[in-house]
Amino acid sequence: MEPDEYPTKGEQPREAAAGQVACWQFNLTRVRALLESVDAAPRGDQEWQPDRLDMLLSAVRIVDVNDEAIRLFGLPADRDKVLDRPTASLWPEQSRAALGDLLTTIAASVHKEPVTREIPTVGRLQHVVLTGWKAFDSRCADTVFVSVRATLNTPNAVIELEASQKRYRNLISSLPIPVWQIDARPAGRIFERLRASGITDMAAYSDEHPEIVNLACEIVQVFDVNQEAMVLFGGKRRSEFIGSVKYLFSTTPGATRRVMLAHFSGARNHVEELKVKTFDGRLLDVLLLMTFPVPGERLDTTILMMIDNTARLEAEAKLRKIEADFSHAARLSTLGEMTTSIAHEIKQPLSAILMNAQTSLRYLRRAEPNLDKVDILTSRVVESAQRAGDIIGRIQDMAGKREATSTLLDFNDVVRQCVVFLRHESEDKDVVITTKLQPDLPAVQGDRIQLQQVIVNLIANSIQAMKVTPQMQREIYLETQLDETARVSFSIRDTGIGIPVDHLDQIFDGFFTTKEGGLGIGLAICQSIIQAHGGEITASNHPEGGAVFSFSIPAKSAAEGQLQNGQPFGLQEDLVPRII
Amino acid sequence: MTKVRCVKVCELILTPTIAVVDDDVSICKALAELLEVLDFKCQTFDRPEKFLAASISGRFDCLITDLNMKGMTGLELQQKLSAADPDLPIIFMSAQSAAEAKSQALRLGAVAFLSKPINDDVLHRHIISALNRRSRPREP
Ligand SMILES: Nc1ncnc2c1ncn2[C@@H]1O[C@H](COP(=O)(O)OP(=O)(O)OP(=O)(O)O)[C@@H](O)[C@H]1O
Ligand SMILES: [Mg+2]
Repeated sequence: MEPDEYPTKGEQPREAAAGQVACWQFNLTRVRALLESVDAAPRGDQEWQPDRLDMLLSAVRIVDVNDEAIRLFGLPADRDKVLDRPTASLWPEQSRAALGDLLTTIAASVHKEPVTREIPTVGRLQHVVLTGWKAFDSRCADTVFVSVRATLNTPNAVIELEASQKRYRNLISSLPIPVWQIDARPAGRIFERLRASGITDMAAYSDEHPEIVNLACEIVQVFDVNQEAMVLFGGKRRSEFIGSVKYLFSTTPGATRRVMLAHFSGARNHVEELKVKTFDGRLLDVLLLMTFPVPGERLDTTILMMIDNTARLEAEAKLRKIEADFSHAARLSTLGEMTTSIAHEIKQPLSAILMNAQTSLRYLRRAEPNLDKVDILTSRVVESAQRAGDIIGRIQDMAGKREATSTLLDFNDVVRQCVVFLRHESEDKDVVITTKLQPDLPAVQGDRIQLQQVIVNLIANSIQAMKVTPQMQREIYLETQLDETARVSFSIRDTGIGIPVDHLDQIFDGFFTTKEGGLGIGLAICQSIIQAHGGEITASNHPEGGAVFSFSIPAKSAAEGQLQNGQPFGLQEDLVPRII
Repeated sequence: MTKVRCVKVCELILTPTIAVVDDDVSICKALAELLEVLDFKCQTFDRPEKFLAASISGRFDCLITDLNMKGMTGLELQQKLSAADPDLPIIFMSAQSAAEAKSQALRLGAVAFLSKPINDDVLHRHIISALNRRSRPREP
C-alpha cells in the first residue's frame, strides 16, 4: 500500500494543527518485520544500538506533516521533499531515540491509547512532548500519528519571534498599497485532497464541478486589511472587511476561478486586472496582485494587493480621445490639400442655381411672365441645390468629428466614390486612374468614411510620389478582389518613385515622412483604420517600378451580407455598434 | 460711330449664336436658358472636343467656356482656336481662383475671365462687348 492510499478522515495531522501543534503521520509497513523480531528495541533503560535505530527510522516513511511541523522542524519548504521520505533523514538527531522508542511501543501495543515521551531539549525547542497514537481505522494499522508540543527554548527567541511578527504586521499596515491578508489554507486543503485523488487538471475539473469555485471563494477568509485597503473600499470598520473573500470578486466573477487555478498550480503570484465594487458603491478598475505562500513561509497568510488603475485608465481614455482628435486633424490636412477640388465641386451647382434663379427673375419680370419657364428653371434650382447639399455633406463627413459607425458596404462603391472625390485633383496632376473592380464582391462590414479616408490617403500619396514621373506615365491602378482567404482585398499601384527598401518598415510609423511639409501621419492612420477593421495593410515595390499598397479586410458571407441600399455618399449614420 | 451702331443693329437683327462649353451639364442648361432670355441663340457642348468638331470659322459669334474640363482645359481650347478661328471672342468661366490661368487667358486675347458663380448682368455686358469686338476690324 502506498501511503497516499490511507484514508485519513478525522485524523489528519493538519487538523491537529489548530492549536499550533506540529504533527507527523508515519507509515510503519516496512518496519513490521524489524519490530516483530525479538530484540527490536532495547529493554528498560538500555541504549539503542545506533545502526538499529538508523535501520528503523530509515524504514519508517513520512506520510504527511502539517505546516507547523515544517516550520518547527525546519523541514524543506517543498512538501515533495518530505512526503514518502525515510524519517531518518528528516527527524532531528537529538530526539531520534525518543521517536524510535515511541514508535516501537505503539507498534507493539494492541490498544490505540496515545503514548507520550518527553524530551528536555531538541535544538531550539524546549519541553518537547511527543504524543503518538495508532490510526483509529483498523484498515490502516500501520499508520501512526505523532504530535509534537514544545516551547521555544529561550525567552529571547520568543521575543524575537513576536517582534518579527509585529514588524511584519507594521510593515503591512503601513504599506502605501491596499493589502488584504487572507487565509487560503482551507482551499489548499481541498486542493491537496483533489490532488491525492489523482486530479491534475484543475481547469477541467472546475468546468465539471463549477461549485468548487464558489466553495473555495466561500471558505477562503480575509483576516486582516490595512488602512489603505479600507480607504480604497470606502469601508468604515475593519470588521466589514473580515470574512469570505467573495466581496472582492463579486464584480468580476471569472476572476475567482483564475485565482483558484493559480493557487492550485502552485504559482507564487497571480496578477490580473479586475473591476471591483466598493462598499460605497464606486466601480473601480484595479490591478490585483496575489502572492501565495510557499512552504517555509507562513502558510496561513496569502497577501492580496490592489493597485487602483482607475486614474490610469482614465488617462488612457483621454489619450484615445487625443488620438481621435489627431486623426480628425489629419483628415483636415488631407482636406486642406483638396480645398481646390472642393471649392470647384461646390461652386459648380452654386453657379447653376444662381444662373437659373436669375433667368427665372427675368422671365417673371416680363410684362407677361413666362411661368412655364419659371417652373422648369425652379425645379433645376432645386436639383442643383440638392447636389450642393450632397457635396457639403460629404465634406462634413470627411472633416467632421464623428465616431466610427459600422454598416454593410459595397466595397467597390466605396472605391468608386473615392475616385470621384479625387477626380479634379488627379486630373490637375495629369494622373490617370485605372480601376479593375471585381464584380459581385461580398459586402464588408465597416465604416465607409474611414475606409474612404484610407483609400484617399493612399491615392494622395501615390499622386505625390509621381511628381517627378514624366507626365504621360503618371498612372494609378486600383484593384479589388476576393482573395484566397475570402477576404476583400484592395491594392493600389503607382508609377512613382517607389519606396527605398530601408524605409519599408518605417513608413507606417507616425511622423515618418520624406516630404517637405508632410506630417507623416497618412499611413499611420491608414494602418490603424485597417487594423480596426480586422485587416492588414502592407507596402512593397512593383518589379517594374512604383509602389504597391495592399490591404484586406474580412468579408461577410453571402447570408450575412445583405447589402443595405446605401445612399450615394455614405451619409447613413446608423446607430450600429462602433467598431473602434 | 455710325458704322459701329449700324453693325450692332445688324448683329442683333441676325441674332448672334453663342457656343457654351462646360463638362457640367447643369451649367450648360442654365446658361442656355439665360442666353435665351437675353435673346441670344445658343448651342451647348459638354466636351471641348465636340465643340471643336462642330465649329467652323464664323459659325459662332462668341464662345463661353469653362476653364477646368475633362480631356482639355479652356486654355488648350483657346490655343487650338487661335489657329482655327482666331477672331472668335472667348469668355472664360472658372470655379477656381486661378490667377495664373486668368492672366494667361487675357494675354492671349480672352474677352473676360469670370469666376463662378456668375452674375447675369455682368455676363450680358461681356457678351455685348465680345460681339462688338468680333464685328470690329482687329487692331494691328
Ligand atoms: N506611393 C508611395 N510611393 C513612394 N513612397 C511613399 C508612397 N506612399 C508613402 N510613401 C512614403 O511613406 C512616407 C509616409 O507616408 P505618409 O502618408 O504616412 O506621410 P506623408 O505623406 O509624408 O505625410 P502626410 O500624409 O501626413 O501628409 C512618405 O513620406 C513617403 O516617403
Ligand atoms: Mg500622405
